[in-house]
Amino acid sequence: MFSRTIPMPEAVPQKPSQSLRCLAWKRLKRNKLAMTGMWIIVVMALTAIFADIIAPHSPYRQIVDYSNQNEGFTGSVLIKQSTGGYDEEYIPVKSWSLSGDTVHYVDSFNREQSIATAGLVGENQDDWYWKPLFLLGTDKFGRDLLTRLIYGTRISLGIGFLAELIALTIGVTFGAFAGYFRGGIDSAIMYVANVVWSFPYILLVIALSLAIGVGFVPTFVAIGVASWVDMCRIVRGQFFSLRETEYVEATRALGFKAGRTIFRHILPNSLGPITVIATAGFAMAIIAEASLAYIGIGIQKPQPSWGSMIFEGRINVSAGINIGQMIYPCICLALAVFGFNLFGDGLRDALDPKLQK
Amino acid sequence: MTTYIIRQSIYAVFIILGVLTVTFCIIRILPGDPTRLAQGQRADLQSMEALKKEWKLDKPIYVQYVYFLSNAIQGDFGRSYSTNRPVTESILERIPRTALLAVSAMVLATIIGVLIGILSAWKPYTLFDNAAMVFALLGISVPVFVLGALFVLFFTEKMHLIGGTGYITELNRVQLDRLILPMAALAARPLSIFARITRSSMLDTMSMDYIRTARAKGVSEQKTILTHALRNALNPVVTTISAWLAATLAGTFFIEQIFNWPGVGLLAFNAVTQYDFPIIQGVVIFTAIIFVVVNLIVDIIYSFLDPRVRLG
Repeated sequence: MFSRTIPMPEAVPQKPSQSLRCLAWKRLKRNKLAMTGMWIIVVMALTAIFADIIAPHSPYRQIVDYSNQNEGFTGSVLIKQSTGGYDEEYIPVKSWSLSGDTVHYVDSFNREQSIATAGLVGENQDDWYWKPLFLLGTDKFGRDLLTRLIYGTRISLGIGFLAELIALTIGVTFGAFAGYFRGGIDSAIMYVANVVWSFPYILLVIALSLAIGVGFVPTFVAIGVASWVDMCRIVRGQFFSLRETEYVEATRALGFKAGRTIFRHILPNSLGPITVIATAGFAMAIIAEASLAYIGIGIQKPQPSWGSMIFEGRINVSAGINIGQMIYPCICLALAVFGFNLFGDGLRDALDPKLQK
Repeated sequence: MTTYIIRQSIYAVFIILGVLTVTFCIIRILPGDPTRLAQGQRADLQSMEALKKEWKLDKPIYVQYVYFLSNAIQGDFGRSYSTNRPVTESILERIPRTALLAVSAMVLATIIGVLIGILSAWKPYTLFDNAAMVFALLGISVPVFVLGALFVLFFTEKMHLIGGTGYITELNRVQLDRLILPMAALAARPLSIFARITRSSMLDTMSMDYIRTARAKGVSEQKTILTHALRNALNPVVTTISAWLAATLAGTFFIEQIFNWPGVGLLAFNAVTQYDFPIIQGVVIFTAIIFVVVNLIVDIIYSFLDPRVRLG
């Protein structure tokens, strides 16, 4: 019987195919600047999460006698037990000596005082005597600057993240609807986007935040509501081009509902540009938070925000007191924003098919 | 052409209407009784009632909206709570000072930014290009108030290079050395953005076929870049510059506070700290209208330069 066998191709060991995400990650890893940015973000995020563990002091504890100290200042305090529901009291001393159950000490005003050890915290000297180190000095209330910077990271990244989450939700939803349905829905959404776009960003954030209120939640809501337009435009543009592709046509032929096509099929393919814009948006949100705190309408005292620290430090600078109070928060703020921008730039290059070599 | 201009103008009018509506909504949800804010803690009930009537706050919300719109169209944004002067008057008298600051910053940013962008694109991935782009990214990352504060610290407090802050006129002539620092601080961010946009736009254009043709037929490198590539590459740059004009006006908000420059920005800053809402509202609307009008003008200029815009 005449038979013809089709020669089977020998199994060639195939390289596992590389997805765009995989390729982009490879390119990103080669980009030193982007990696620097990523590490800045990672370190700052860890600092924000573990602030309680890292911070050497409490961000709110004031030792007023130690106000406006320079970097590396070491104090010397006796810790008095709390009375009447107040916090423990920190008594700065110049010198002290223990005789029996009484501690004799010289306070900041060179007055000789004494206190019974029973009134102090704990059992022995290690418990109630403390030599606190203020690595970056103190602010005008005698709070540790480094600690406040560390907690400031939490405020800054926390608000940046939540604000960007809001902007992302609004922007992606509006952009997807406008790009997928086009026509009247598109015109209506783009009209709203154009109106919001016409407001100067920072003034809109300020106005919204005045209307909603001050504090943590109103701040990120105001920033989020003001910053979705970029995301909306990018997503809309992506949907405009992607809805003409064959695979989207296939979903239509299969009778998928619009929601399924939008969220399960088109959206995953526009994740690249969305991530890039979200990174840039994160940076903008950090700036906006600091700006609001600088004006005094965002995060309220005594919560540590880099913005309000810069504002207070500025007053000190004109008075000729230590300039670290202004410079360190400036550096933190710029570094955080720089990190996000570096990473976002690298990500954009990595995802850009034109730059593939 | 005329249809295009008319269409764009009508759209701009609708955008401004939208801006007014959004502002109206924000003002409505503001906490506090506006009549109380306007007259202070010691206001008596009668005068508060009278003011409520005058501002039509006793009428339904749509009447208030129409009243607000008709006032806005006539350029009436109420009176400042703290000085009791008309908002429009306060803003208009300060606009020249802010314009001096913002326009000079924009000129500086445009010239230097575009120049850096061209040089970077001319020899991409060289030391100059990489350094310039890192600096540009840094320029985008440093918030304007941080830069301003650092400038004051290093240039006036530490080095005494420039005689301090403030806006001083002698014989009605502005002391221009006081302009240098705020101008530079305000220009840093747009400058960085212009440099980046110019570079990427130039690189895009340089890879086009007609540039290869120009090179192939032996046009000198300088001429290729300056006359062939630049003309096309500048389109997105012009768009960005026009978009940044209004943003720079808004940027004066911090710079004027830091450098004690008595323009619209300082007016708004003080208004925010004093909860002087009519002033804030006025400044926001003014800046937004300037933004819309500038964009409209740029759109129309574009349609002359590039027919694809109005046909597409």
